[in-house]
Amino acid sequence: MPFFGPPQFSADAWAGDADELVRSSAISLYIAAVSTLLSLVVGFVLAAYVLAMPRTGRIVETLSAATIPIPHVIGAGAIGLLLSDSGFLERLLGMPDAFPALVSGPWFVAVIAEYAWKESAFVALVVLGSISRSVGDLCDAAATLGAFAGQRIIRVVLPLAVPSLAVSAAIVFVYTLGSYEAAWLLGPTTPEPLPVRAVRLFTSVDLAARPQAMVTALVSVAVSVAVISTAILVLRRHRSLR
Amino acid sequence: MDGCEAPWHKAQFTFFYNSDAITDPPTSLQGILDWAQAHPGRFTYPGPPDFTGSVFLREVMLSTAGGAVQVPLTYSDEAFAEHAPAALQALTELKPSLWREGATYPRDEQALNTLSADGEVDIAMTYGPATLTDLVESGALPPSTKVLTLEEGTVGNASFLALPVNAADAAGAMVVANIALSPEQQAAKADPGTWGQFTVLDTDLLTPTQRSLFDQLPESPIVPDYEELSRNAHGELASEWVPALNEAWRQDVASAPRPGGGRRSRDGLPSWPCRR
Repeated sequence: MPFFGPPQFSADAWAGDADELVRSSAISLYIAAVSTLLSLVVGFVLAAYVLAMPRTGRIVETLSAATIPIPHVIGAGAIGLLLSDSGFLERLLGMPDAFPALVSGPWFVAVIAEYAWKESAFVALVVLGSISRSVGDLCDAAATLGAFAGQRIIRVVLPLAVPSLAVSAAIVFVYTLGSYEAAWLLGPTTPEPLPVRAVRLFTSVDLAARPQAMVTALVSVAVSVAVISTAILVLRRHRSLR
Repeated sequence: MDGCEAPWHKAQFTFFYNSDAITDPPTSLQGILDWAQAHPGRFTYPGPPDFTGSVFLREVMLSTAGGAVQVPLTYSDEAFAEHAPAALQALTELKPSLWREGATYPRDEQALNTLSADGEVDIAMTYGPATLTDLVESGALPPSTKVLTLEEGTVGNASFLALPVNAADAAGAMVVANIALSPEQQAAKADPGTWGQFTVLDTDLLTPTQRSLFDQLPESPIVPDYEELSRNAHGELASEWVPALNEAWRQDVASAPRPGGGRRSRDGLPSWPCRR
């Protein structure tokens, strides 16, 4: 509501920054897509390993579960210390001059690494929770019919895990789309994803930037709703995924 | 008192450098920019809208305008159109010589301090120079850190305490403000071990016992005393300059694909504040 005068409906905040909004949305979608894909792959591999190896699998499962309660801010700080230009990894490799720009680089590598690391633990947890009871018998049946370990994973474990992978993919995608801390700590100054832009405008000294911050937030919500609707439609249509 | 604020402490925008890496430091802002171009990748500034990065923008503008007296303190579109383009042009030309070729900037003053501590940049800046002593003592900054004083002086300001009109406990708040202004509190605050912020009190007007509190403050090996630090200090510009410059920097320097590029209107003025 304006300080003076009656509120007036206006689309200025939408029209004025349309190209920046499109750019920020594209960046957010890119980060979310790559993080989701990586976390699905790594999460499934972790789950398959835990199911296959009873003893070492338990260690891996505990470590993976311990990753989940770590707050994203702390995780982002840790990834920053690990991957920055004078960070742990670079010192381990002997301070090469050609160390790539991972933190605050143009491809958001550190941001994606942080999300993939944390969310793969989540995906592994969800997959294990959903299939661990039924997978043992089915794998034994496949083994008696002559399937190798690799065939068992591709033909038995993966199809069993697809429903939980699909649901956790949707969750991880929408979460990373709206997540602020890792993108702010580890991303470049420009271009910026939607949540970073929204917070920057909201906390700006210039109060006239508030409507633009709200617009950015609403665009983020709209993109998330579109993604969730698509996911629900796809899941409904494929009965095998339910 | 109605309509007034209580002063709290003074701050001075200061550059500091690693004296092991630079034996002959520059003595003016233009000298710093020239040094940065001669040593690519060894200088950067926090990205506006961070407070320290924002004041660096204004310093560059005052420098390219030919001195602090050239730029009016109050904001007007004409003054902005007159002085801002030169500053933005200087920063755009500086961009390829910055850390990471200016593709990204440190998030804030702390991130720049970290770069300085890791040896990635040799010159850095701060708006709270009194904290430098503590940072060097704790090892957050290298022991060879030294303050870089500029001939033309830098921006200085004072912070104030204010009471909102609808404060629930105005009387209590006024007591707190009085305590904050008392010589004992100001001396305690000025001790680098506590916080290290410079006092707003004029020590000549204090009683001898009160003045001795300030005389007893430990001298810092890194930060010169306030009189030398604030020599030729100029005042802050009006607050309307801040978002205007920040936004113009973001559009014309940060987002520009290459030096000399970026969106410009036909008459060569930056895109802000002339709305598209």
